[in-house]
Amino acid sequence: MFEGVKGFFPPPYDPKEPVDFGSGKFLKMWQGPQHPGITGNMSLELAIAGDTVYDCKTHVGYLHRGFEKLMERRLWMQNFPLVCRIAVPEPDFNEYCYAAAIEELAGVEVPEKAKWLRNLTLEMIRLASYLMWIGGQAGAFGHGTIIQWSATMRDYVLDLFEELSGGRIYHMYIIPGGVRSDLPEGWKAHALEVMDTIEKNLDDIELVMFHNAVFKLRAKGLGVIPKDWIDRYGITGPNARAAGFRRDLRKDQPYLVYDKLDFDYVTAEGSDAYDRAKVRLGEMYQAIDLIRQMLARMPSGGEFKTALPNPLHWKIPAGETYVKSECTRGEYGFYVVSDGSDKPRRVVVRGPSYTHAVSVMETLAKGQNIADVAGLMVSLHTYPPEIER
Amino acid sequence: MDFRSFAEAIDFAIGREREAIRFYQNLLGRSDFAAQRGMLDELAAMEEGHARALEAVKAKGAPTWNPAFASRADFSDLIEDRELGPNPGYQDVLRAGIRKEDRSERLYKAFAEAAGPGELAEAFERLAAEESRHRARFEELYATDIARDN
Amino acid sequence: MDVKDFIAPFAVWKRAFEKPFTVKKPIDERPGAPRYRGFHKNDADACVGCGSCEAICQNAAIDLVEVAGRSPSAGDSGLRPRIDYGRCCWCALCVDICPSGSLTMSNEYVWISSDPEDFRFVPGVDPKPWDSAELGYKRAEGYSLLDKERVEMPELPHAEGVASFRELVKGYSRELAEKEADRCVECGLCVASCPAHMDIPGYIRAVREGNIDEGLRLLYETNPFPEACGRVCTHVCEEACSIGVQGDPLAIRWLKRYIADQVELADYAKELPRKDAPTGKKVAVVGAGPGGLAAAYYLAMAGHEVRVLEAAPKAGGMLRYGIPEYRLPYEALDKDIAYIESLGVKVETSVAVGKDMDYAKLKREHDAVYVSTGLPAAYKLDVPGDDLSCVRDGVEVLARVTRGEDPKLGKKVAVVGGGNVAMDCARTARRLGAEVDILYRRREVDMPADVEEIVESKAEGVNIVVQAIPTGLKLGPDGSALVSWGRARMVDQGPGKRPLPELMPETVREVRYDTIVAAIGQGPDLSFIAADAADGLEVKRYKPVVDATGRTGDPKVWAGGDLVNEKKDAISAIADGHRAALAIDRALRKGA
Ligand SMILES: Cc1cc2nc3c(=O)[nH]c(=O)nc-3n(C[C@H](O)[C@H](O)[C@H](O)COP(=O)(O)OP(=O)(O)OC[C@H]3O[C@@H](n4cnc5c(N)ncnc54)[C@H](O)[C@@H]3O)c2cc1C
Ligand code: SF4
Repeated sequence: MFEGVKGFFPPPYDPKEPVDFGSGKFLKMWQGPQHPGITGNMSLELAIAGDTVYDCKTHVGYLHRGFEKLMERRLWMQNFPLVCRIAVPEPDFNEYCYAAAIEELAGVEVPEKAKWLRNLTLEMIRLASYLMWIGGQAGAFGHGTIIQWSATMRDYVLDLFEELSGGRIYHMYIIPGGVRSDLPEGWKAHALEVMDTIEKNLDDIELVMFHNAVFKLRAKGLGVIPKDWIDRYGITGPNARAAGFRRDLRKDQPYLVYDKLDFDYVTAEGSDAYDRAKVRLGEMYQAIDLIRQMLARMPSGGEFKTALPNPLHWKIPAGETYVKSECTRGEYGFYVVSDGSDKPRRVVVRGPSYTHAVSVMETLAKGQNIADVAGLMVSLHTYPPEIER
Repeated sequence: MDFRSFAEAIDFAIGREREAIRFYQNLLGRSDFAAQRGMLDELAAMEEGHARALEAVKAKGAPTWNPAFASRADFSDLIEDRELGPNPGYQDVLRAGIRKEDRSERLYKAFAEAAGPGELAEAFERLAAEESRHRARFEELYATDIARDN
Repeated sequence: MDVKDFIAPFAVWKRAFEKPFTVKKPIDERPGAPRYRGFHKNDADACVGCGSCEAICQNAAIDLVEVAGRSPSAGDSGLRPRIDYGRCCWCALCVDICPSGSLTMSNEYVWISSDPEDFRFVPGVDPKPWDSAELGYKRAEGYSLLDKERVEMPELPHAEGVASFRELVKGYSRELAEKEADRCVECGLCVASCPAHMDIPGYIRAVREGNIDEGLRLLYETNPFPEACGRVCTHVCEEACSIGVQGDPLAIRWLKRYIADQVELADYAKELPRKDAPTGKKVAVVGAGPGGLAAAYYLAMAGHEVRVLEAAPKAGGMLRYGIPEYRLPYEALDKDIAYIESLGVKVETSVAVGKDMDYAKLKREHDAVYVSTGLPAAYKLDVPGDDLSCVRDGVEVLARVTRGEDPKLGKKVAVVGGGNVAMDCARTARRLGAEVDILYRRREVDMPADVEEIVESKAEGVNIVVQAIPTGLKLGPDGSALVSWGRARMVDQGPGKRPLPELMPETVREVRYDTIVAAIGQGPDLSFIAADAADGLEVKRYKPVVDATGRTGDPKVWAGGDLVNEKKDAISAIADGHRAALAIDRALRKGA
C-alpha cells in the first residue's frame, strides 16, 4: 500500500498531542450553526490537522427562545400551546410531560380513553420523528434518496395528525385533563392504511440503506460509545440500547397504557452508528406495531377530557414534580414547580440532547475524520432546541 | 234621545264634550295634590280639542243627514256615564278616559253613517279615528302602568 | 459485507417511476382537514363580545375592538375580537374557551396580501372568503374549558317548604361558593346590565380567593342591601352573563348572598369604610324602602345628617311588607338595615308624610329631600264587584302576614294576576293552608313573574289557570265570593307586542272562592305633595318628572325607586338612591 512521502502527510492521530494553533499544524474549522449536517442550530468548533479532528468544542445559544421563562408569565393553561414548540419534530412529548406534570400536581385523573389517545400520538410522533432522522442519517453519508422517501412517509403521519388534531406540526392535542377530541370518523382505517404503506417503505429503506456497502463501511465502527460511558454520561434512549442496555422508560416505568401493550426492548451490541441506526429502525417497526395494537384495543367512545377548573384562574397546589417519558432520543422530562399560584413558578425541560450533543459529542468527535462528523452527530440523534429551550 | 236632526245630534255631542271639560276642570279645582292635576290637565285639554272640532263641523251644516238611520241606532249605553269618584287615582282616571273615548268613538261613527257619504261623514270619521287613537293610547298606558301584572 | 450490499442499493430505482406525492398547486388543491385549525371565523351576531378569547390568548393576538354598526346592549359589549396574524399561533384556545361558541376556525390556510395590515382583521365583521367554509376546527362535542353547569343550590324540599315560612334557599357553603365563583370569566357584561353597576367580577373573584372582607367592601360600594339583594334580586345581571349563552349563567345573586352571610354584623364596621366628616347639612328621606335607605346610607357616608320618615311601623318597604319571609327572612333584612342605622341614619317609623308630618315643613327644615315612597296603592280588578269585601289587595295580604296577623283567606283562594306579587300571594296562601288558583288572562309565557317563581309555585301545589279573564264578582250567601270568569283567546297584536287576550263569552262560568286576591299591579300615592308645595315639581301620569340624577323640577327634591323607574325592583331602587345621594351631595357641597 502506498505509504506516502514521509513527512508530507500528517502523522497519524495522537490523542495526547496538544492542540497548538501556533504550530501551524492545526486548523480551526467551524461546523455550524448553519451546516446542513448539523441537526438544528448549534455549532461545533473543530480543531483539525489534515482531515482528523483533534478537538471539538460545542457551542449552543443560537436557538434560545426563553420558553422556561415565558412559562412563568403565563397561566397554566396558556402554556399548553407553548410547550409543543420546544422540540419541533416531537411536540407531543412536551405536551404529554407538561400535562402529566400539572395533572399530578393538581391531583387530576385523566379518563382512560384519553390515555390511549395520548399514547397513540406519542407513538405516531415517534415514528414521524424517526422518519425524519433516518433521512438525515442517510444524507449525512451521502445517500440522498432516503430522505425523499422518509419525508413522504413522515408527511403521511402528519396528515393523520392534521385530521386528528387540526395541526400538522404543532398538534396541541394533549391538553391538561385529557385530549382535545376523539378520533374523527374513518380515521382508524386511514391510519391503518398509512401504517401499511410506511411499513412497506421501511422494508425498502432497510434494504437499500442497511444493506449498503457505503453505509456499512462508514457507519460501522463509527462513534462507538463504550458501555461504561452510559451511566457516567447519563446516556439514554437508543444510544444506550445500542450499547446493549435494556433500558426504556416505556417498559421500566410504564406510563399511559404502555403496560397494556405488547412490546420488547430493541437493543444491539455494537454501540456504533450502524447499530444505533438499526435500533431506531427497529423502533420504527415497533411504533407501527404499537399503533396497530392501540387502534385495535382502544376503547371506543367514552370521555376524553376531565372537567378542570376555569383555565383563566386555575391555581395548581404548591409542589414540585418531575415527569418523564421515553422520547426518540431517550429520557425527556419536565420538572415543574408550583407555588400555588395560577402560573408555574419554574419549569425546567430536560432533553437527552444535552448529554448526547454536548458531552458525548465532544468526546466522540476526537480522532474522527471530518467527513464523518456530521454522520456521527446525526447518529447520536441530537436536537439542539431541547438543549436551550 | 233619537237625534232626528243634525243640529240635535251635534249639539248633544258638543254638550257632552263641554260637560267633560267642566267635569275635569271641576275636579282640577278640587284636587289638592300635584300628581292628580297633571293628569286631569291632560284630559281636559284633549276634550277641548274635540269640542273645537265639533264646532267646526257644526258650522258647515249637514245637508244629507239621515234621521231614520240616526233614530235606529242604539245609543243608550253611549250616554250612560260612570262618574269618577271624588278623589280619583291613576287607575280611575285612566279607566274613565278609556270609557269616554270609546263611547265618543262609537257615537261619531254612528254620526258618520247618518251623515251619508260626503265631507261631513269624513269629518266624523276623522273625529272617530282621533278618539280611537286616544283610547288606544290610554289603553296602552293602562296596560303598562296599571295592569303590569295582569 | 457481501454481494448483496453492493446490489441492494440499486433497488432505489424502483421508486423513480412512482407518482410523486407532492401536490401541484395551483392545478391541484389540497384543502385542510375537516378539523384543520385555519383562519378564524366568528358569528358576529352570536358573539357577545365578552373578551374571553382575549383573556386566554397567550400570544396577545386578540383585541376586542369597536365595530361599525354594533353598539353595546344588554349582554353584549358591542365589541368584537380582532385577531393579529402576526401574533397568532393557531392554537385555538380562543375557540375552546369562547362562551358563546361563536368563534371557530375554517380549514383555509392560504392568504396572500402585500399589505401587512390586512393580517389584522375582525373575523365575521371584515368579510373573508372562508367565512362560509363549513369545515375547520370547532370545539369537539363533550369538550369544554369552561364549566357550563351551575353549582346546585341546596334548598328545602317543596313539601317541607310549603309547610312553613322557613327560608327555602339554604345558601352555598364555602366549597360550593368557590366552585361556582370559579366559573366566572370576568368579562364584566353583567356590570353593565346591573342597574347599580355592582363590581360583580370583583366580588366573585373575592369569593374565589376566599377574600370575603374585600368582597363585602365591593358590595357596599354600590349596594347597602347585600343580604336582601343576595336573596331576592331580580338578577338581570345573570341574563347578561356570557356563560349563560351556552350554559347556566353564574349564580351571581347567590354569591352576593354568600359574602354577606359570611360576615357578622358586628364585624361590618371593621371591614367597611368610615364615613366622611360631618358637613352640617341635613337631608330628609321619605320612605324607608331599599331606595330611601340606600340614599340614606350614601348620604350618611358623605357626612350629611340623614333623617328617614317612614309611614309603616318598621323600615324596609316592600322588602319587608311585600316579599314573604320564605324568600327573605326578616333577620337578613334587619341586618342590612341595622348597618345603615349604625351610621347614624335616623329612621322615624310610623310617620306618614302628608299626615303626621307636613311635606312643606319637611322641605323647609332640610337642605334636600329624597322621595322614595314606592307604589303603596293596589290597583283594582276593574270588573263589577271588585270592591266587595271578599276581594283583597295582594300587597295588603302580604303586609298582614308580615305584621303577624292572620289575613283570614279561607280555604279556597283565587289570586288574579301573573306577576311576582301574585306568586308571592299564592305561595303565602298555600303556606296558610289554602287551596290556591291563580287566574291569569294571558298565557304562561306572557307571565311577568320570574320563571323560577312560576315553577316553584306549581311545585308547591298552586294551580295556575291561564287565559282566564274574570268578568264579575258576586257575594255568595255565606259571604264567599262567586267569581265569573271566561276563557280568553289570544289575539296577535303584531310584532313586538304582547298578544291581547279576548274573552270568549260562551265560556264564562261561575266558581266559588272564599277570597279573591287582586295582584294585578300597584300604583303610587303622591297625595302628600300638596299642589301648593310642589314648587316646580312636575308630575306626569302620577310620576314625578326627574332628570338623570333623579332631581325633580323642585331643585330641593330628588325622587326615585319604584315611584319613578320602570324596572320596579329592589336593585333599581337602590341604584336610584345611590345616584340621587351622589347628586344631592354634589349639590349640597356646591351650595356650601
Ligand atoms: C310582593 C312583592 C314582591 C316583590 N319581590 C321582589 C323581588 O323578588 N325582587 C325585587 O328586586 N323586587 C321585588 N319587589 C319590588 C321591590 O320590593 C321594590 O322594587 C322595592 O322595594 C322598591 O323600593 P322603594 O324604596 O322604591 O319603595 P318601597 O320599598 O315601596 O318603599 C317605600 C316606603 O315608603 C313608605 N311610604 C310611602 N308613602 C309614605 C309617606 N307618605 N310617608 C312616609 N313613608 C311613606 C312606604 O311605607 C314604604 O316603606 C317586590 C314587590 C312586592 C310588592
Ligand atoms: S388561535 Fe391561539 S394564538 Fe391565535 S388568536 Fe386564538 S388563542 Fe390566540
